[in-house]
Amino acid sequence: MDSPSPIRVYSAESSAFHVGEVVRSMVSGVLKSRYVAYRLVLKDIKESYSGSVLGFVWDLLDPLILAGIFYYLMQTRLISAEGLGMPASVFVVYGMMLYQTYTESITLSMDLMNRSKNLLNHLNIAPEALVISVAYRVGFNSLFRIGVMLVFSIMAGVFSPIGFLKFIVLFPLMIIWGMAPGLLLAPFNTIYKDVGRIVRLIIVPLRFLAPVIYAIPAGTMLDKLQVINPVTMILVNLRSLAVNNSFIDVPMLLLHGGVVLVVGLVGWFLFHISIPILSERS
Amino acid sequence: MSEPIIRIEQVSKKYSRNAQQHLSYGIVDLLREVMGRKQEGLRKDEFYAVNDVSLEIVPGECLALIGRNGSGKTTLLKMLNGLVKPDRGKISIAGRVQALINLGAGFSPRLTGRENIFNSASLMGMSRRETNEVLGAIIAFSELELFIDSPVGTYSSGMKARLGFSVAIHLEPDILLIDEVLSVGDYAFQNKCFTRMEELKKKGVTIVFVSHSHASVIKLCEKAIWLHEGKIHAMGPSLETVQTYLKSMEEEDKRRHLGDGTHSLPEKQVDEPVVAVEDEIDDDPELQLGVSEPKVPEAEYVLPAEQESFVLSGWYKASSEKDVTLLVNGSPATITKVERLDVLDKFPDAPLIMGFKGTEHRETLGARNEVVLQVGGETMWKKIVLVDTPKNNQPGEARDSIYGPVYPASSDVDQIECRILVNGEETTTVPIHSAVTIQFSFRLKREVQGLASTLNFHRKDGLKVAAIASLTDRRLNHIRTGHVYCDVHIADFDFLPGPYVIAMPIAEGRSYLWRDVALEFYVEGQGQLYWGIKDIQHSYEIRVEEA
Repeated sequence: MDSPSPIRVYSAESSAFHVGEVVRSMVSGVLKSRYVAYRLVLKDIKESYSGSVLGFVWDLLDPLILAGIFYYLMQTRLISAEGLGMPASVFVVYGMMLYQTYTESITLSMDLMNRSKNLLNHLNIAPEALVISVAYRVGFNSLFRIGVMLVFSIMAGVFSPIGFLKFIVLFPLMIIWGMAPGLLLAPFNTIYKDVGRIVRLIIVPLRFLAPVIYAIPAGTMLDKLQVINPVTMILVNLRSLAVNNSFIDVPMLLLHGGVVLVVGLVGWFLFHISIPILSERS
Repeated sequence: MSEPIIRIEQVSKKYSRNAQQHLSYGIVDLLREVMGRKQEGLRKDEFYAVNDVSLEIVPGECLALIGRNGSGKTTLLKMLNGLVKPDRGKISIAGRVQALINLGAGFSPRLTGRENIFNSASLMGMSRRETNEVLGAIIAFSELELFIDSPVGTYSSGMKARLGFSVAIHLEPDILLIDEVLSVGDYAFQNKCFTRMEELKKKGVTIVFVSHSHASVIKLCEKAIWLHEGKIHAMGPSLETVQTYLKSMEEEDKRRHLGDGTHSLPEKQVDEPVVAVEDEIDDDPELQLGVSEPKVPEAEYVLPAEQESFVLSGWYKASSEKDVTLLVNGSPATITKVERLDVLDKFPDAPLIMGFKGTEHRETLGARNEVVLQVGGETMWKKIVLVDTPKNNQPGEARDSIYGPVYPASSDVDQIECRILVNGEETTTVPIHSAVTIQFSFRLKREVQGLASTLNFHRKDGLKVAAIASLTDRRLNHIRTGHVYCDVHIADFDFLPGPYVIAMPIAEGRSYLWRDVALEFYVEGQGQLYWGIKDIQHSYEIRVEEA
């Protein structure tokens, strides 16, 4: 109480056209909310794994089983293992682990307001604390996935220390890639849960419209569709970087990145201004 | 006069009566927000929860918000905390705000008390270092030293509230917003909380206090605002405002119990269940209980005994859909239905109204049963349900009621009448401290020996307040037969305002000839505050000696 507090104003006026103010509030939210986000994630993790002996192992089992099935299909030549550019086991494990990170980023961001409605109804917390908590949570879960990918790279004899280091540095992009559409959809999913259901429905076939677990044959319809699949570019580039220490189609990656950046900023902005409007209705 | 620390300018907030519509309007409002367009006026099914409220609060002031459920108190408090965006007007706040709207919001039952302190403190804006600095004080204040490393899920609701309050109170904010959260915990802890709040007041902390405890409002706050249907109905010194509010509530209560006329008596309650627990929301305002108001006095209900099984239904305000358990005498009843009720118009402060239905078989119930509603493991409310003994439909047969045994028909006595007179006029509304005459009469149809009668005064909820018995000096003993007329004069009728009944037995020795509710009436107050069950006339002398 020693230093005068800044005057906070809550008004009916739309904040959307006071972009400067909102952006300042967003940036300040990020700076002030890292500790809150850390506590939220810590609580979330402890809650998730309490009463479970194997804990995070369960999260890894689902993609590993699917990866195992596809690896088997490739070994038995039921699915072509040609044109992968790396051992089939590494290809499918990286694909599944990265894709799981992407879907987790989307779904956790999209459900953010619903999952936090109890907090939002009673405590005035910065929206950024919730946003960062998603990034932290996916990041935490990804540590195990990165570990699995590292083990498979070494086992398959394709481990490139420099490439893998670059992969780890750029790995957060995968989370951002997923969080961007998730945040944009979060306000709508708060009101209509159908939004979340539709997205979950789309995510499943989207996996097969990208070279996640098999190489899409060139010149086919799927090949054309995979270019517009938002996950394709970041996934193939991160995988190639980790295994071969090289990027694939950098201009296209930058183009996708630009779109993700715009979607992410708009989504974050919308999420920020929608909390006081929607939290009471969630 | 110093600059206001809180300035509220023509603030309004509207909600929809239709839950689905309320959600749909959310998307429309969001799109309008993005396009910078304002939604003026009310849309279909909308109403104002807070309507054109303006006020200023200066630093160090303690302001109470009083009013009925749904009057807009919590909505206003949430707008002050930035949780809800106003639909009109502006709120300016020049200070660090701490809200105690739901103690323990964000507590995780799986984590220990200590871990939850760090979580809760971080959500309230404290850093790890700041939390570490006050950790000892928080634990000491909560008096939970022995349990601080146990999971919060093992705590009672009172312990959780103590922990929540302790964390919140150690933030030392400029403005403290409190929403009916101090009614939790034991009296010693409540007292400790109020002492702490007095300390904060002395330090210049501004307090906005929502409470249904009028004594707390008067003790803590200098000023009060009475909100009614979202508008400021009265504003002024807390004592006067509370008195005005209580007077109005009393009038309303009186109208509800006695109707507009003063001559017609309500039906005798012992012939009907006081409240069927089956009642729906509209018929049972007593069931307005829930997460935001967990501490509601126990209420008693009487169930008819003829049924094989009972439907126990009710509702509660909730912040989210959680597991519901209905315990009858400690054992879980079968919950047959839990649903979201479309009654948000009645309770705009509530994010969610959940209804539930459970069944219980007659044989599992005793005469007095404790029914406890638990939501998400927390006790929301407790009710006492009384079960009538079965009627056998034979006239003159006895049965129990909350006012004692009932012998409604008799072949020995008839033409039973009872009325109450104030200033010689028959009435069912008695001003407190007035001189009252109770006239009762009956005709004996046969010769009796040892005639006796008693006026048993019960509060309508069943509590016996007083009795005037002829047995004390056997004043009716000499009467054998005929039409008996009695006038009982009471010089100062000092029962506290509220509804009452007179249960009257007419007996021959120890054997009842007739016993039933003879009269219902309402005592009205004089706009003052009352505690207890009687208002003792007194004088007050004060002497202070030098220490």
